[in-house]
Amino acid sequence: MVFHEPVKTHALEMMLATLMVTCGTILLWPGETFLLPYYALMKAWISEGPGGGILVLVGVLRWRAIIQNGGYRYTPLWRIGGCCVGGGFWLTLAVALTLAFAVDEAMPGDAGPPMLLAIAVTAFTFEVFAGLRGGEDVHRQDSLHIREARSKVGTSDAGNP
Amino acid sequence: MREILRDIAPLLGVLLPAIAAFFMYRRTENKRDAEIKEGGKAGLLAGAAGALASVEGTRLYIEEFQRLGAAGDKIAAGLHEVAAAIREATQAQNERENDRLAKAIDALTKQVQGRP
Repeated sequence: MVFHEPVKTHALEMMLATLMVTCGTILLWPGETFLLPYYALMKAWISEGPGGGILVLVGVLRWRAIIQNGGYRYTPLWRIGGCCVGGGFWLTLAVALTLAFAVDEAMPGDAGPPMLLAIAVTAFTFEVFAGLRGGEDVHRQDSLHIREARSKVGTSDAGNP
Repeated sequence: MREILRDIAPLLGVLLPAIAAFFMYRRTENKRDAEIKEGGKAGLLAGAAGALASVEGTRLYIEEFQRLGAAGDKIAAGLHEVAAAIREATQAQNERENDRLAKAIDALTKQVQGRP
């Protein structure tokens, strides 16, 4: 396994991966996390067991991809996959909380918006940033083999084997 | 509106990081292409400068060679003059020697003829 300065360059993604693992663990924990009324939309989209399992699995894979980044050319694609799963989770959560607070008025009493909304919006924003970084790394490490294919074409055009 | 948001939120959340990644991939690719083009231009300029330097160097070599050639011509002309002078001197000396020998032979001849 090759270490590619993960602490310096991918601290943001490490945080997001850790957040996925911890959220997944909370969902897997005995008891219903989505019992509260403002999680109604989340409950419509994912059930706690499989959803938590997916979050933990993707979080762990993201961690592995971040640590291994630079040593294996496909790790940026894994990381982008993690960004997509995380982005889907956080935006769904943000929309669920916003709708519950602003449209459905599902908050108990005169309660304001939950703090979790700020975390969800922030996490989603940084998932997009992590996606930007992942795209750059896909190009740098030629994960899609595009530059390799182009160089082969150029070589055959030049008449060299 | 609520239904639409509820339906598209997960899809949008999945798509936006992917779109961001694609955008950044294209941006990096374009940046790299631009750098390659710039590198090509810089290479061409360096090549042109090198060619100019080669032309200038070649011109200097030719001038030096011509100077050397002119000097060689002068040396050859000088040598030619020296050789002519040597030839003339040798000819004169030979003539003087021939005269001296002829006179000596004449004197000897007269001396022999004058004997009884």
